[in-house]
Amino acid sequence: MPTPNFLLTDMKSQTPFIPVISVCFSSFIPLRISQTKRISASPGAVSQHFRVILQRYLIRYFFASFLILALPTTKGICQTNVTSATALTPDAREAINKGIMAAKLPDYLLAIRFFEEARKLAPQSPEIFFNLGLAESKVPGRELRAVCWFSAYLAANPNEPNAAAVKDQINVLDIKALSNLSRLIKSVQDATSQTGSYYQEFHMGQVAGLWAEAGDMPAAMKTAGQIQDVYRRNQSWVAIAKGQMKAGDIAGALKTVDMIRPSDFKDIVGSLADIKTVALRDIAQAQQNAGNISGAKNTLMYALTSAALIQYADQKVFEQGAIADAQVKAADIDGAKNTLASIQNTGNEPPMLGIAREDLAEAQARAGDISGAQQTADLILWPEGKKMAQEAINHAKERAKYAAPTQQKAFVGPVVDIVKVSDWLEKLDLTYGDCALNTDPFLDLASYLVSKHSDNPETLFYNINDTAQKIVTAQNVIDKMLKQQAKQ
Amino acid sequence: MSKRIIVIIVIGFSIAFSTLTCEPVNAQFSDPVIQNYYNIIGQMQALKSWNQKPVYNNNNTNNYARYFQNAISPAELARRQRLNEALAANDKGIDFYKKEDWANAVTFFQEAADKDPDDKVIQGNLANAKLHLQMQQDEQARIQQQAIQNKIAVSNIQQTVQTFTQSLNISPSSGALDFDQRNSNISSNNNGNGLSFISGASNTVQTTTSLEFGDPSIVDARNVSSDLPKSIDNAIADAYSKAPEGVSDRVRKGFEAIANHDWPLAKAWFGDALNHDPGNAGLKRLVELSDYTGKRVQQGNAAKTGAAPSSLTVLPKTSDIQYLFPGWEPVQPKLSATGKKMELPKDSDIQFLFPGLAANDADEARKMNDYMFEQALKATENDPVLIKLSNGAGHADPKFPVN
Repeated sequence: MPTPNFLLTDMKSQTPFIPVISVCFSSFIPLRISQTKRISASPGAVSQHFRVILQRYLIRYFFASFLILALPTTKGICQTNVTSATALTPDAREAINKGIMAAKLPDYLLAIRFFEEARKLAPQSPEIFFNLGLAESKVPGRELRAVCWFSAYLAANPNEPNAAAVKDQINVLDIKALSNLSRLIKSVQDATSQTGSYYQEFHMGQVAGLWAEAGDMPAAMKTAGQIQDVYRRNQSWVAIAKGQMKAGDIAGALKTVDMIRPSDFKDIVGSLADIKTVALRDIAQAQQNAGNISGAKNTLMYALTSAALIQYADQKVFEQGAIADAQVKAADIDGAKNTLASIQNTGNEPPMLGIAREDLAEAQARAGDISGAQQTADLILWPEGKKMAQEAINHAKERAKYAAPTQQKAFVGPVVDIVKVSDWLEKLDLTYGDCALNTDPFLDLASYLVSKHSDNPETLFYNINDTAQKIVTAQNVIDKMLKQQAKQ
Repeated sequence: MSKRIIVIIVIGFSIAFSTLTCEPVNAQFSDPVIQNYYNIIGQMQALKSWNQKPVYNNNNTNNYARYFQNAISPAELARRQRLNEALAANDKGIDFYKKEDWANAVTFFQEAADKDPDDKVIQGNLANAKLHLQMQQDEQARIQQQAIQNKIAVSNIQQTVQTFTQSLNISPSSGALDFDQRNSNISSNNNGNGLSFISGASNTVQTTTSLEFGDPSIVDARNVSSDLPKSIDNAIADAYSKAPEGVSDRVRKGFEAIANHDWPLAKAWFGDALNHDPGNAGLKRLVELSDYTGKRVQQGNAAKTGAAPSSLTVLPKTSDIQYLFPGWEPVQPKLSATGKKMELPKDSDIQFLFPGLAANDADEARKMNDYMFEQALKATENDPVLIKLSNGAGHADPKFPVN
């Protein structure tokens, strides 16, 4: 029967009690002093009273100081006990020892099993993170998982004597993972030439995007350069830009999209303008998420010039509406108004146009421009949107009676917080999302690729491409976290 | 009277006989009654083919049929029979046509056309069915061709994926750390990269400080158990009894690593021993030998996996080989087959291999040399250079390529 990990649990649970006890104890002091004050109503009581007050403040100061000092101290105590060998239960210790024995055979998969067993018994033990990292680093294809284990170890124990070596090992594993990824993308590229289908050049564009996302821009541009069809080549540049954005290179993405020149190809000017506009909108969104609001505004203006070249009226209005909405979200109210005003009235209101008008009306109302908001709301054809805009205007009118209007603020993406141990463990346990390291591509890549077999080369290509996409996305997530942790 | 009667009777019979036996040319349809008969027959046939009940004057038909049955010639009857069969075959063809069974449709339309070559409808049906059949056959051929191409493409993609997964399996043993000389002389129980598993409760394994990167001084090789043959174990202990403390243990660990064919680890141990006894030329030789053999093995592995031989691998010069393998012969079994005995190193050779050892240590040195030699042979048994040399004429003087 497993022994409960009481020591670790107790140490963790005791942590908040020390300051709480301090606060409770210090809160009794005024009560006792006030009782003293009532009792001592006699000659010389004034000086006595001041002494008591002084005493009271001294005592409170003492407890306040204790309170301030207790927090970091208790944290240290807790950490020390969590990391120390004695914090582990005998069962956990036994599992670790078995894992080490298995690793020495060497049977790393068995070792991992034992270490995982130990982790269940001591979920926060850095020692287990370290051993899991080392064991997984020995299993081909598990480099990213090993990186996460070592990073969790470092996040828990940043000042361990072996921290530098572990960081070194993380770098080695990260490079190894990147090397594996590059070879996988190369395999995807080779598979492209085997598909022999009409979409072969489209597939090459996807591979170019993979290269870009993996940070290998020369390979990305080289692959794109091999595409003969003009439209497909331009599409590949969009894919590359998306890859750059995912890798965090927004400026590079903008440069890549700038290579698309719709006016140079009269036959497909509209199609190229369309894909360029969409790509620019994506870039503006990425800039905004990163907090570069002015950059986002400029990119949206650029997108507007691109949208002007779109030939199909409805598509053009849709894109212009989307740009206007993005401008509202970037707090560029004047820009949004100008964009909406420039849209030629086709009698239709594509969804994005209705949404943009509604968002603009709300922003204007919040900013106190009631008449402007009303004008915008009157243009809305979409009934629900019109109703929401009108409600926002009415609300703003009411609010204006007792509060100042609020200017629209740009929506900025979530700020990356400090990377914690739990963040690494979360990635290691995830079975879905952008960095699902607890799935087959990260646990047993070779078998996963075999399981994705198909007799149709195109399907096979898609399967391998999809696998590479998963890995490159996860790699970027991990790299981003590593960079963030390095700053901490 | 009787003659006239007889003549009349004869004439009557003659007329009747000629009427019955002679086939009328274009006359059969000239009589509206006969024409009507054929029309009725045609209608009956047509209606029958569509499974509809024929509508006709039954009494009249029976009468006409009975009347004219004996008036139609067998040839005409046969022709009509053919026409009927042609119609039936055409009908069958149409059935198959509707089922898109073009091959059977063509068969029956062809049969119909053979029986009634002049029928334009049948000819049209036949042409259509043949066209569809051709298209079907072309499509099947295309699909078949596509299937072959797909098979080839899938095979190629699989090959690519397989190459990738194989490289994945290789990567841990040829990881980036192999190229990082900071860690090359660091030992590990796990043939790893300098990091060791940690167990807080274990006395032999330190906790987080068991990290061994870049600092050989923390390697604890004392009191380590040995899996070597006892003679080798003793030889090492004797040969390095005068060496600084810890050297013999490290050399023993190096030989253990050789026993496991882990030449990089052996090199690391010998290198570590050399750090403790920097002036020991014998240890330096051991480092060089293990380095050389490790590279040869690595090259052999690379050749097996189809990879290009590493440009880093440098074969030793002949002079080096003389130092490393005194009296060395390429492949032992062949030597014994020719009756030529393997020559053990002389004491003077031992001085080259283990310089600094006293003359009375020569035997120990020789044992170590033999052991190393044996292990090196095992490790490089698939070495293309050695195989080539062993197959060449004369084995006495192996010629290694000189860089």
